[in-house]
Amino acid sequence: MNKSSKQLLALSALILGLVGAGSAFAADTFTAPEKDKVCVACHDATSDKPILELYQTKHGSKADARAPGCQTCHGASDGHLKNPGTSPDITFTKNTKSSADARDGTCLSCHQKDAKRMFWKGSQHQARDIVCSSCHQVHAAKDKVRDKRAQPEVCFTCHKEQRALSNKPSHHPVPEGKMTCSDCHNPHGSAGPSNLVKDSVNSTCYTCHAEKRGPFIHSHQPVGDNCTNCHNPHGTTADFLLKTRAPFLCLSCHDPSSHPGNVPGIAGNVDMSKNRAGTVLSTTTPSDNNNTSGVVGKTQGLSCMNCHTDIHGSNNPMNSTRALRFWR
Amino acid sequence: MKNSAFSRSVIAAAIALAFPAGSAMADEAQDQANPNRSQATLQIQNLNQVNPLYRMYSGMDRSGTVGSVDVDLVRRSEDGAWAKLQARDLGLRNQELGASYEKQGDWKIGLDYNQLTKYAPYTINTKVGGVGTDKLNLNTDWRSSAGLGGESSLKLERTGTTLSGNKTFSEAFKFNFSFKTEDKKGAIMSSSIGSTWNGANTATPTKNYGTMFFTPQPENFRHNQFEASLDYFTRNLQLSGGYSGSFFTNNNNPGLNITPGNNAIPTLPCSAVTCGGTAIAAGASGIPWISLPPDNKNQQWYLSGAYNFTDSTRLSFKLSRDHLTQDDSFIPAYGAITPLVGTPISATYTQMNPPGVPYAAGITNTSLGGVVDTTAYFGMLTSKLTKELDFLASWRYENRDDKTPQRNYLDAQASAEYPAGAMNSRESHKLNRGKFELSYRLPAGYRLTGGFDYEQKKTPATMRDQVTEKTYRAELRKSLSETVTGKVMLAHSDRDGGRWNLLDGTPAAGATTFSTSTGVAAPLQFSDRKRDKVKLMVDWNPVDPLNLQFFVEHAKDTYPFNPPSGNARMGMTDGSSDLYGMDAAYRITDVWRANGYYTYNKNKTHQNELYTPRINAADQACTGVTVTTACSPWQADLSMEGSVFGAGLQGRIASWDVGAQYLYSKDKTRYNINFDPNFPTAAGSSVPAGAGVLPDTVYSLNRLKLYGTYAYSKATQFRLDYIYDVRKMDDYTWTNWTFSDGTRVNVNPTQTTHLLGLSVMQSF
Repeated sequence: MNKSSKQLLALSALILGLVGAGSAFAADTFTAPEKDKVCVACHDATSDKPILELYQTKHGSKADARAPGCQTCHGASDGHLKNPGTSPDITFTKNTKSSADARDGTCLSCHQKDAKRMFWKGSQHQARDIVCSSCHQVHAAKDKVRDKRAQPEVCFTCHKEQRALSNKPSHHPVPEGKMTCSDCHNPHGSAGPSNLVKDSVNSTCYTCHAEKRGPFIHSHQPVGDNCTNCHNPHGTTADFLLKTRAPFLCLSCHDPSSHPGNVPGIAGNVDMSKNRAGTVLSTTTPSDNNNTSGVVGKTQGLSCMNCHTDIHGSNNPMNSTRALRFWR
Repeated sequence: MKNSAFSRSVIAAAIALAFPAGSAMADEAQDQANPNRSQATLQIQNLNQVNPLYRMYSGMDRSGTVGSVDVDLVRRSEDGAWAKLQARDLGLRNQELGASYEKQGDWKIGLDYNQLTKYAPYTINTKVGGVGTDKLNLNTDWRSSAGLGGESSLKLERTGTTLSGNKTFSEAFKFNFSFKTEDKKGAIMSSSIGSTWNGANTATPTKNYGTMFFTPQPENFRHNQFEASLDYFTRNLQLSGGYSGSFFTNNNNPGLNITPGNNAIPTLPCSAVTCGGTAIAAGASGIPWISLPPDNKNQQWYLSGAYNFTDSTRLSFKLSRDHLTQDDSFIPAYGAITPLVGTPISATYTQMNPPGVPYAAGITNTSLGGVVDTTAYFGMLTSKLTKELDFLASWRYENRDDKTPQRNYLDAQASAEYPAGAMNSRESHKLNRGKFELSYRLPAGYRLTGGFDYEQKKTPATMRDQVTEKTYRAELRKSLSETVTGKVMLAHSDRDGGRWNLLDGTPAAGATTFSTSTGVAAPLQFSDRKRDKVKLMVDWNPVDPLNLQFFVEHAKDTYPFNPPSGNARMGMTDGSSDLYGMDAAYRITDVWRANGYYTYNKNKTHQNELYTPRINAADQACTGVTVTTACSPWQADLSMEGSVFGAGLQGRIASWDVGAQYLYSKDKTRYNINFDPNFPTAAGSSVPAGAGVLPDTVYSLNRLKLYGTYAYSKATQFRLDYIYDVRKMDDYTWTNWTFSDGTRVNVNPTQTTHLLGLSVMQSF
């Protein structure tokens, strides 16, 4: 166990002890709030639709006067009270008859007062009738979508392509639970594209990859334009989250003077001394060995980036085209 | 049996001693409603061996048994104060700890610590010294056949600490802040071009151009991010004004210094075989400085808000101003270019003593002085025009103004390539992005939506002048049904941006001229694109315990571009994308549940290219203007195909809560390269033998997870985990590849991992 682990463990134990010993937090015996008693009378611990876990959440805090009662969200539901076989006025189940506006409106009557939900109206989700309860489990003690490890499972209910991509060999640590969808996206809407947490793709990426921000002496235009020109952040088969492996990715823009148009090949297969028909090539020089940009050097290893090292931009002031070409 | 019972008693006694029994809850209702919990989990995991593909984000880089601790604590007081502590994987290299204290509706403060280590998915044998630092040493004996030493690896470790909080002053005002500092340390895979010399111990060695060295770039970064905002809310008006600052520091030198193989710079006088009596060793040469990311900082001030004109008409907006600066010190300059002694070493391949790089004649500044200001306006109007008809319109305007002083960083070149030298690039742009949507509610839960998306980006004074994309889409959605819901969506988009420069070097009308001379990665192309897309998704509940989802997506791209007569048609020509699959979830009983899914995806592209033979070391034959025998056209058909199957089962056996998860994922990429059968003939071609033959690359993942949890008492639980993980990688990337310094990268084609875990969960 390393030093930082020991320190964190000790800190956790200390906090656990201090807070656990605090009498101010002692548990009492549960009694439902007065406004909910009519509901809890049936929806008790033995009900097939139990709701008591809600009292573990902020919605169930008696000390907060703003906390809603059952009828705040579900409506007065007189019909349901008289005949439990009928539904409450507003329900949030998957097959509900309540409109999306009615369900959303219930939550937004309180939760719109949050800058992070300012752009909910008109967002991709809202405009497609995705409502709060499509993702959030309000009655549950632990809301799955607010748990970093469990959240992708909720998002993947609809986002199937992203689920498939997350299993590719090159991926962000989402399947491992160290990063989650909401690190980059605000599902409640934003002023940026694709519900991104920042105003652009690049500014979102820079929250973790600020070294790519520049500006540089020599910039590579697609880098500053949009990281997703070359990368797919949800996962790829090519290394470094590249959408297609080099040189094919690079060749979609760079043609063909100098060496970009050279035919890819791999070590062991390629013989630079003769052509495809077996004719000995007179132009072969020692420079045309396998590790140059001729064939193998642009295909294997880091491919084009074997030489174009600073592909995100070079801040080298050297008086040489080597900096311009992102070699240095 | 007796032994078994005895064992259980011993275990029970041991646990009772180790963990004091938790207080029993009064009743079930109290259990369900009580927010307070304190749980510590001790995990012991045994890893059979370290497999790089499995290890990547696992936090475990050695085999054998490791221990870690999770902590979960929540306390709520009578007056609505919450204290929370959550720790995950304490003891591993990806540990997390978060603590917060909150008076609900009043104020909150939180502290989080996160560590994340990413290990490279391969191992390395190298003699390159100083990996992870900003001084690499290629070693004097880099070409010897001596062993490369043991296997090593590359890793990057992030450690971040965040302090955040908020305070509600009244019904209307709230203040929020967060400060995050993150360190990132380690090294990433990187290579650099250099040159080598044949013929040691001779006065006339031969230079090998363009050899590639293993030169991993070090990362020793600190990134501080500070955010603060003040929110104001009334029933119809919401405002949030704030500041967001991002300060990036690279603690390394501005350049990565690579000591060449023949670091011992010879001293005069030289003979045919020695300089100053020391043998002239063969070794790597080249300019030894690679620039590393410069410090930079971006600060944003913004005002966002929304106003409800009526209950159904709302305007939301964001106004922002970003100020980005980059004034990190350059790699130092040295004036005179001092070549290595003797011929034929040219002046451009310089030594590193004294340290630094040559500057162009007019460069006296010691930093770029980069300044970029970005002003952005975003607005979105939503309204319910009638009971059935919804309207949405949004617009974003962004003006990125790169004010960085422009200087000539390259002296005029004798070649046609840069006759006037080259200025530092500036990246200004003006962006307009709009969205319009009408949505009509039809009877029976149907909704019909039509939309138009528009995006135009102007980038004056750069190679790509302007890109415009228009998308038209229609969607029919069915909701509010107990059995079947779903949607079908059609979209067509048209991207126009390829007119800026034709392949013969003639700029299109209004476009920026750019040289197509040899030696630059030009002519570039950015193709126009037409994309048609269809999406279908159905959610079906045929019977109560069964839910099925079906989904199909198809997209087709074409790149309409007709080069002038005599020019080759290069770049992307067409492509397609397919995705389909299904999900199923079945509640077998109240206790047992099963789920499964299958997803298939395939992306195909076709691109045309043109082979360019080297006539000599410094020049090439083809510029793309004409197709000749020497310049052979070829095409690549790429096909990326993937399928994923997942299944899960969970339930209870006796006193055990058990579960199983299985995941199978396979990706196959095909690289089908074809030569034009007519042009040129194979006999006249200078395409090397064996080029154009790339094997398929295949990656597969098979993973089975089994777990079982046993409640020994209300307070104490045991959990067993077993993971069987097999990954197969058949990829040519590193196969038979050797860096010019001898470094090899190894990927074991089959990596099997067994992980066995035992956890004890104790509630207090």
